Amino acid sequence: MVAVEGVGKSFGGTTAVTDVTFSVPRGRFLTILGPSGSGKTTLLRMIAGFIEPSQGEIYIHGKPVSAVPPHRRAIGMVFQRLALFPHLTAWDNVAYPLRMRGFDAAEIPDRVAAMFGIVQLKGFEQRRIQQLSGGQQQRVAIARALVFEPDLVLLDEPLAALDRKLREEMQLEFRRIQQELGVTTINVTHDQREALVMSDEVMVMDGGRVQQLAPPAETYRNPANAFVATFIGVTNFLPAHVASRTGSALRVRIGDLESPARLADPQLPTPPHGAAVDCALRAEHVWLRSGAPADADCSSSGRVMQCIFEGDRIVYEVAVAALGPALIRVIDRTPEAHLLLAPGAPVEVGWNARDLIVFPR
Amino acid sequence: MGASVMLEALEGIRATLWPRAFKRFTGAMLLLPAVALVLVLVAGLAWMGDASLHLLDTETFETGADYTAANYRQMGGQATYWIVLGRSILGAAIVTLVTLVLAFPYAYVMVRTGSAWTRKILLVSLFLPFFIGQVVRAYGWLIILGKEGLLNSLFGILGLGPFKMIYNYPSVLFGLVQYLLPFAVLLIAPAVTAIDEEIELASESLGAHWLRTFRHVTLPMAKPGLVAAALVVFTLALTDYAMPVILGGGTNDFIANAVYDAFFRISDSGLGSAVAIVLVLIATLLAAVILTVLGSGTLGFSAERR
Repeated sequence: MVAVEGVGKSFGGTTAVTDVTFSVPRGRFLTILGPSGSGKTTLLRMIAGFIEPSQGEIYIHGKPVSAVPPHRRAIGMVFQRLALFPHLTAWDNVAYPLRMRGFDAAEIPDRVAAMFGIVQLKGFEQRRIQQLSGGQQQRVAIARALVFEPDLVLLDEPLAALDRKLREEMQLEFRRIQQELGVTTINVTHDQREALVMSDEVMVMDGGRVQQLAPPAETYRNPANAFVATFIGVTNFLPAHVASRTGSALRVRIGDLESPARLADPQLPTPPHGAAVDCALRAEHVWLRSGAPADADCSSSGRVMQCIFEGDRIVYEVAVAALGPALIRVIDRTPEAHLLLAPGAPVEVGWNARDLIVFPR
Repeated sequence: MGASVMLEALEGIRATLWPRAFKRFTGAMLLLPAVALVLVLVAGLAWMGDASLHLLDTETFETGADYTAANYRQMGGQATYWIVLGRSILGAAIVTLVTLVLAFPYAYVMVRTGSAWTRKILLVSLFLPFFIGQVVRAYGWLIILGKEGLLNSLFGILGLGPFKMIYNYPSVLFGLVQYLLPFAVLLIAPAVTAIDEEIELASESLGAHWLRTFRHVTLPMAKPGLVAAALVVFTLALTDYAMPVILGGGTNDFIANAVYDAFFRISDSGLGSAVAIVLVLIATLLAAVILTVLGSGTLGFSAERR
């Protein structure tokens, strides 16, 4: 459906996007996830046609589109600041692309009305944009981008400005509409949760390069590199050395502890004995017990230094003597008997081999 | 420490002069200078209105005590006044149209350009004429466009001309456009700034090429600035004195010139006042028409705006 091949972009001397290749099959939802300055918005604007790539080519329906101006590409875009037309009513905003694209005037009212139904905004057609709430404006922007049945929809972080509750509601809402209409979608965001919730596939970008392209669960469970591991989720990074390796079984030495671990990418050769590596350990994959030893592949005792109560979870910072001075962050989602461990409390921490992910340096 | 002591002392003085109980009058107090200014203008206008209703006795050169509409009748009876009036209104309309057409792209490029240098050059060329008085600028045009002027000497080298480029209607209008362009650009620029560039991109991605984006999005959204610019340019052109005198050379008088002549050439303050009152009425009426046609809401008075 959409294919991006070896696309790069530099502005003056600075490179924004380097050699990006990916494709999105029809009806799928891809999220480009990355911090600001990772090149994700530049990439999206190249697909929309606002920026011309310096290298590579973008194909839609197999046809190269570099020479096609934005108004001739069948792409619906929902903008960061929504970019609704304040001088028009909600209805005229949604009808705008149909009028500009020369749809039969007789069928425009039906199409617009149907779209107001899909985004659940019936009754708000004659409102001015300023008379609508943030969520309603989102719905108008989505309706306007979808009404002309584009080949592709681009979302340029339109949900970023909403408050958390509304944002999470709109994520599910857009996913529902996207699946209902089966429209191919590329979404750009720096919100890892949004990427995991909405997408069929997540493409993590940093420094203008693709870091990983995989289904959400895959990027979460098997980060391709240290950047992906840090960017998605709360992750402890522990410097270590390879202690032993027998076949695929790997043991590392972290501080005074020796623990079984697994290599991030089993395709890569196992680093030699004694090689310095980085181990990623997700905060929610650390077991925390008070008193009894943790039921895990490796465990050690420590002391709670900080306890942050966040309602649905508790975040602890734990000093583990055997691991050196760095604090281990632990997320506890099942506090037993509403247990809150006070700073200073002795605890046992532990983890399983499959959760200690080794990245060669 | 010193600063906080001083601030406290100031606060003490303020409390004595303007006790907290007066606080709700603060807004009204701030309005006072503006209100006073308007009142002075209204008083002057009232005086002129009164003067216009007395007839000058041409033998004693004293104004009569009786109220009469004779000055207005005299105006209405003289074709010259009708011609001057028509010339001023038509001229102001043409000048407004041409100025807006030229000012919009200028303001647009100035706001949208990505190059800081382009913006600086455009801004400086806009402000430079402000430092040169209107009269000096008009004389400048005389030097360039005159019979023995710069342009005609150049044409002479090419074996052309000389052309008569001043002391006619187009030269007056040309001078007015050049004089009023900066005002229009300065009033339109904020309106263009207020249009998020993303909105124009959105229009393009929705299927409109630049011309349709301009017509359906940029132009309607810039309307507040265009209305403001139209009002200012139109009234300034309609009431201008210097350009018709200098570039028109007395052959293309506007209303303000007629007012001047009545007051200072024939010393008939009654007639001068009558012409001036007519000018004020016409300018007000036409401004009201502009506001009604283009919508006063566009000036930002409507409650809908955020």
